[in-house]
Amino acid sequence: MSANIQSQQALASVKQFNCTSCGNALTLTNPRAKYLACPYCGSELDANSETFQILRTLNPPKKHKPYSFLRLGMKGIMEGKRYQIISRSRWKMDYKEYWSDEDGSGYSDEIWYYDEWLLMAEDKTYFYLVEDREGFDVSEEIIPQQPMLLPKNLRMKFFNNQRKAIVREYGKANLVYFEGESNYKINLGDEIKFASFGRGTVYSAEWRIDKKSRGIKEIEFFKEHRISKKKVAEAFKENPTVEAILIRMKKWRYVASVAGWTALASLLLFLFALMYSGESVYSENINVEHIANSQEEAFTSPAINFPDKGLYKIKLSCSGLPNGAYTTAFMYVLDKNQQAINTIADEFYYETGVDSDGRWTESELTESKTVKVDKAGTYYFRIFLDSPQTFTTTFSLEVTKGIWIYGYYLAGFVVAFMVFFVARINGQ
Amino acid sequence: MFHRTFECPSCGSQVDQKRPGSRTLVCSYCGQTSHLNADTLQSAGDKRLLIDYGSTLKIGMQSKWKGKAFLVLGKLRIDYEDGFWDEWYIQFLEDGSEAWIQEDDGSFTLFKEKMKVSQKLNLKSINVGEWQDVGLGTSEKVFITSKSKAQVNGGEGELPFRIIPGEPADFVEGILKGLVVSIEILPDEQILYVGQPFKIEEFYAV
Repeated sequence: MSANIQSQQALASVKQFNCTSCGNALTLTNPRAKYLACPYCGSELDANSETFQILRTLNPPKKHKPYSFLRLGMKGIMEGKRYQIISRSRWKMDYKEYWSDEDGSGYSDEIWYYDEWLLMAEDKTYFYLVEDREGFDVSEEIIPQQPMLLPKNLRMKFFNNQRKAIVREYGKANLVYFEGESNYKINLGDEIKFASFGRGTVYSAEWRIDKKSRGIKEIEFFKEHRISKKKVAEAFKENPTVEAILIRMKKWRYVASVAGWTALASLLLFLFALMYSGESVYSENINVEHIANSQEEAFTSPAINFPDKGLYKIKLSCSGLPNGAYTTAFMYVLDKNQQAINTIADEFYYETGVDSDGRWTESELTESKTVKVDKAGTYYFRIFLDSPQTFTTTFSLEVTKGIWIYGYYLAGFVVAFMVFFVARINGQ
Repeated sequence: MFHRTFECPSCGSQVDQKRPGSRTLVCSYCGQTSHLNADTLQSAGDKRLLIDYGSTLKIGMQSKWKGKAFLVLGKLRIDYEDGFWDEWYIQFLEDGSEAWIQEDDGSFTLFKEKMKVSQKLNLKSINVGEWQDVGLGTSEKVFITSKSKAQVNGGEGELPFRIIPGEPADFVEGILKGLVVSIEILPDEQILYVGQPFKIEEFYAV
């Protein structure tokens, strides 16, 4: 730093006083400020009058609370420079937003709100922080090489090295609330029009509309980039309420970490379980000749030895079912006394044909169920069929042990991933 | 280095002139604006001491911008319907060239390149949001970003043209090839400068 340039004194309150209307403590930091809107009662005060005369009442602050932890008067360090928040403007956007999918593209009508926080540094320079329900953006004024507003073809670029990009948002924004210090007269309803393009870094043109003539009063160009909630909180951590939020965010990040690893482990287990087919205990192909409308026993297995207690997968599949055939299969799992201890029932069908789109097929030919066997020993399977048709077909019965219930792992993955997702949002 | 002193025609205090071409000197004690005619000072308009709202720049200060040393000679304050801004008149010490630093609500623009305007501009014929011929004498047009009726609030130190506190000073701003164009329409002359914004930290760079 040059010895000849003296840094301005540390941010010190120029004036401290109580609101003329509600009595709450207020601070006036910017010596250039002409107006002050009380964040407690919404009164607009004349900052240049000795008595801080009430000029009028603006919109009630209760209806326009900040979206997160920032508050008027908070001090913090952004990009290495110390700032104090001196005002907040809330804007209501009424605009068109670009969309595109496999069916096409277009613009949808949207309404959105955002806050513009104005931060003033010790050297009286400003920093603009934009906040909406989705997070924060840092906004910076730029001078384009190719200035433009909203071209008819809805393609924009500001700099020679940019490629023309589709306008992502365009429309208008109106000032609906203001609190803090202002060098200018506060005019609720003030209107700006805008057009923006770009992803990641968003470029925008904003033009202020003159209330009386409806002509353009002033044009400014900006670029914005997202900044995480965590970074903003860290910048303002000297404020106790923000510090508490940072601690809470740290806890969320811990939860996110645990949930993330759990989700990953569940996913790996799920994939392993999908691939693991188990150890075959019994397998049989059963040829069936079924007579229409007779609930007949199709098959009874010989005694099958279940070597251990635990989970067994029973799979019944059907092949060679004629076109249009439909049957309900009931399969009983019997103990050594041939008493039913479990039932599997399912519909099997096969239909195929040709229409204007070509050949179509609809079928249901496999059913499997996991059963828990409490003790090792001898078991039987008995199958009944019930169908309005006569047909011949082949059923396959397979029994495997040592199977993994992948559904649980999948559910575990889904739950853990959801927790991870929520915790990550809250922790950033 | 050039340095002349005068007596303020109003209060008799010493008034300094540090650049030969200066045409307005403002007394730092009583705020009297005076015009330089040959070797005499003549009062012009009301006495007006500008309110100090706090700035990194000060009259008489020396510093460096992108490694080039400069001296702050004067300040011009312009009022308009939304507030005011300051124009700091500076001289680079190495080559003696002049420039302006515009300070507007914490943002700074250095105007170094002065251009001649071949035609008298009329604020009514300037349309914000359009590319317009502002009389640069070439085919180049300026994209107009704002215009406003304004007036001279007052000055400090020394200035290269005559000002009278309270006189009209309409202004037009625009963009030309990625640079900021500022046109001040004073009663006696039109001044068009081309410049670029910079961050205050650049003052400190050596």
